[in-house]
Amino acid sequence: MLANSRVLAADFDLINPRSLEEVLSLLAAHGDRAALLFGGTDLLVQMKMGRRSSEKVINCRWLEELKGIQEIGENLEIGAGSSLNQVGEDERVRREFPALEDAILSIAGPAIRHMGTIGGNVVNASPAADAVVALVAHRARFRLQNQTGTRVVDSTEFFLGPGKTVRRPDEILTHILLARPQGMSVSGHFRKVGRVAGDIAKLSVAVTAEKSLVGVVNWHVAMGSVAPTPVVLCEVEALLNHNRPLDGDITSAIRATVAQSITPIDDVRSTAWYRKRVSGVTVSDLCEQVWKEFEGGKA
Amino acid sequence: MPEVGRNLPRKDGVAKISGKEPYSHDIHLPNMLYAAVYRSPLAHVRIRYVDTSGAQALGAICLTPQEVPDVIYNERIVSIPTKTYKDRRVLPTVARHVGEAIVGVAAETEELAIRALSSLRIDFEPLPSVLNAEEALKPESPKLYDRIWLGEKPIEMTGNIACERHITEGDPEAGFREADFVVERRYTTPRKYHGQMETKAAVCQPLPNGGINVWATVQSVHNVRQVLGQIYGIPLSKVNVKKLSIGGSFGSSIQMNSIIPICVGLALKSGRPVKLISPREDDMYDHSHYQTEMVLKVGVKQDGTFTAAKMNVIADIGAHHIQADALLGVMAGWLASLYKWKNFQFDGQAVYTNKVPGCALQGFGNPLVNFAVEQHMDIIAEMLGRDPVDLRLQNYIGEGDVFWGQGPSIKSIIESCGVEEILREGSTRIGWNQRREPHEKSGRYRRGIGVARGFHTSGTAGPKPGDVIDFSSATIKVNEDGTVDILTPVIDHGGGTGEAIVKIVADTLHVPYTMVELSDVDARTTGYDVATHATRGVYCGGGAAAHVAEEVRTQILAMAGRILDEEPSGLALDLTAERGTHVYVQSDPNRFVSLKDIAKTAQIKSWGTMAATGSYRQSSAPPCFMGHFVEVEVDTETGEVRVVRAILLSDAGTVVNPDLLAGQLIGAFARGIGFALQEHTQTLPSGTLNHGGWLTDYRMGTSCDVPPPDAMDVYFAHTYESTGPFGAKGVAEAALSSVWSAVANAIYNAVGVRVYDLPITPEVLLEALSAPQLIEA
Repeated sequence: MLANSRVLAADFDLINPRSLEEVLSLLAAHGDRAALLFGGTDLLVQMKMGRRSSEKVINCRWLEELKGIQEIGENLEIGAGSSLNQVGEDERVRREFPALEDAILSIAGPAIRHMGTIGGNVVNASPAADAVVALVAHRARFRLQNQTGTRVVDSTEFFLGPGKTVRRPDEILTHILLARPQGMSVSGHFRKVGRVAGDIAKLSVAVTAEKSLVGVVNWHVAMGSVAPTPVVLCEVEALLNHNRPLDGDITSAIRATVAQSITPIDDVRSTAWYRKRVSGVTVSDLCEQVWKEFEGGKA
Repeated sequence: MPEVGRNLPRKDGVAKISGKEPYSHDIHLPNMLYAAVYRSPLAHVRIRYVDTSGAQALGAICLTPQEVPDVIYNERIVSIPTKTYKDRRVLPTVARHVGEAIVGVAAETEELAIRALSSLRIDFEPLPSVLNAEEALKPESPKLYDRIWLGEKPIEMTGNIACERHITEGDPEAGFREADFVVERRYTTPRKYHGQMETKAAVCQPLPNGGINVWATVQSVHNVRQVLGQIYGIPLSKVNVKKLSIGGSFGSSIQMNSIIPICVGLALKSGRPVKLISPREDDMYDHSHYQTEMVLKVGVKQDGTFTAAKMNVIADIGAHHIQADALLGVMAGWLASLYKWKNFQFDGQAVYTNKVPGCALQGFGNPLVNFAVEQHMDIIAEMLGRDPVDLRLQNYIGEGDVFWGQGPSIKSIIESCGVEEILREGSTRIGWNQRREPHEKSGRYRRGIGVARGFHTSGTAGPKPGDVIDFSSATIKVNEDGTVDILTPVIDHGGGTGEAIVKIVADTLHVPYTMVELSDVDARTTGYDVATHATRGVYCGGGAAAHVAEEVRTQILAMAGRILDEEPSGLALDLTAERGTHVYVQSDPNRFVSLKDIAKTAQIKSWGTMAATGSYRQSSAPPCFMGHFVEVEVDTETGEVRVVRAILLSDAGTVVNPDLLAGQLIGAFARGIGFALQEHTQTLPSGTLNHGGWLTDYRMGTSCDVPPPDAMDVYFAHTYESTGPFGAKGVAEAALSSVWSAVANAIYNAVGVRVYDLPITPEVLLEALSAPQLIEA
């Protein structure tokens, strides 16, 4: 009963570095004892609630180097410090990574999306993070950097558990890399089952696919809030990728498969039973929606 | 053109939307300390010793249970003293729920105060706790209290029953024997949070004369003043409580908020002004709505007439008795006043548990009773093969009948009633005739239409004094330029009570709305008003203002008579575009004098100020009726319910603020959807709340969760309540009364599954849909 979401009573040093280089040297020096502050929509709340304490808070909010979206080679590179609104409103994101746009629009409200950043949503590693589910479906990769260099990790391998990732204490997530689709057209959707609009997910699903000369290919399906980390539904993807067109038999098979791929729990938002029951329905609904868009020529 | 009934800019509108309207959170005084509260981590615990040395070392001032006056009180003094149960102190020596305040701490900054909380060392003796009413009723269960008080009379407690009420009219057993059918069901409603926008705050300034000034979140400046005077032994003339805007309340501040006396104690101890703001989490551990179990039994004849009704209620009131006795009385009253049961029995028990204290929430038991009765009506209609609307029209209590919504001591004869208009208009607008039965529907998404009707009282007054105090006061004066000041103690929760009072006074004095203002007032500058509760703001507060304005009007005519050299009885007050507000000679309308000239003349000639102060008690507590026609869509694969369309129909008598009334109906409907489908607070075995006090985990609906504006149709019945100011009644709490039942009835109509326990979450509904034995044939 000592925690509250009103006042940040903890004592800490707020450091305002002027460059990424400075951030890296601060991380090298303080590592575990430091927290990186971007939008603060998770970090500051957690600090107020006493769920997290850090001696040093490194404020990266104003670092232009980490903001913006660029086309580099075959990738779209999103700076980790870009606000959720900035990403969700980007024309290229909307055209080529529609599930990500959907997911971002489902997060809280405009004010939070203005403050919150895409990198924060990733590194915070909440099993319920909406943008993360879409990023996993879009098979994003994450670029991490420390003083010695950079490395790139697949989004499917980045998350280890609630609040846990492969990021080392001296590393910062600098960019999110999205491979631009090569097919004729692309479709994708995200759906969150919540208690009310803008809620934290009871469960969430992202589905993406591309249309090529041979048909609808590259189906990717990911879920959130149904396991400690985002889940890639490989078996569902296989069903979709090996069976065309999408008909009633396949959707029934999808429904049956989903419940076996997830390990949901009971919590304040929902029950394991409900999550299992409704995950299959939601995944097949969304796959049908994507399929129909290709069929109807919308995508 | 009268001002009553017009849509006019709010008096506080610009200040509120520009952030300039001061709330208690905004009060800053020089040399002020900031406070925080240490709250019990355990459900039931004796506080042996509080070591404050660590906190003091940080420069904090602490207030412990040993340092507060040993006064047992009830923070709600709406009921008369002999009907007021008392069981709490400012800070307890035994904490009876997780989150009960134990120690107050004040420091130079709020951050420092919160850090000082962590430095307190408290020696606890854990006591066994009981966390549900059923358990609490068992003789072997731990007892919360050895002794409580009813007025000045001690009550030695043998168990956990805080109070009970048994009310019978007629011969219910004979009634049930007469019935062709007897229908009995058990309904439950959960604990839930008020969710008012403003969390509670208090600022207390100790005065050199031993008095205090208080700025706080209150629904009544006078009651808070009196409780503080009583606790701290300060004469009321030295206790002042300021009237401020309040960011909603939904009943959670009818009583004095628990942080106010803590703030006062800290201010008196430190000798400095102290500000104490409840974080949202503290607020969620401070009050809750009552959890109830209701077993309703109704006897009915084949022709649809009722022969008897019997309701058993167990209310889990949590750790303190704030108003449980009144709750049981009104629950009986809501039941008795809905339909002509002929014979009637109510048995209610209010039970202490080691949970967050329960208190009134918009409707004070009314939506709970309605949830049972209005579902029962549909069940009976289906059983008899009757149309649910017709069955209601056959049996409703209306014009000429007795209404005793606020309990058996407050009875009125209904003289205005819009029930029939509401039900007929609603049926037409929703397309009731096209409504199909559940078994005629198929497919994954199924739509259903439901109806429910409800009401609320307008105030708690009546022809004779009851268990509840009800009168209001006003001071009205005419300024020297003909403008008018109103000093009213009535708190506006945001629904426009203030504007309504301005319009009522403006029309009584024939002064334009723009020339009448509400003064900044406090308990010292106003007469008594019991509280803005029981949907009484316009009817009772406005009624008192109208009464006092009549006296001012008499004075205006008298002054004008001196100027015009006429008897006041031959004069009339009027407002025209050319003359403005003026008094004219009835036999010679060309002879007139403007109100401005009357006021100025009265000043120059030293005749005095035209002003009056008075109190007034309404002679009735008329019901304001409500009807909800709702269409829902159920996704049978996920259990999700979407409310797609709604007709909201009210009978508020004369509509004083049309836009604001529409807003109130829509707002209450939106909240009601949340209560029906989503909101509930569960207490875990540890005594903590399932959402931990975090608003992110106690989700309330958003504007996206209600039907779009063009799918919500608002309708006002055409009635006139002759006892009310300009024909007005209340509406506020009525607006929520029948939402849950209408939604539940619509869900049944969609999928043929009836859910008796709120909230009807997708989890609950999907499970019910998966269990065919639950479906009623």
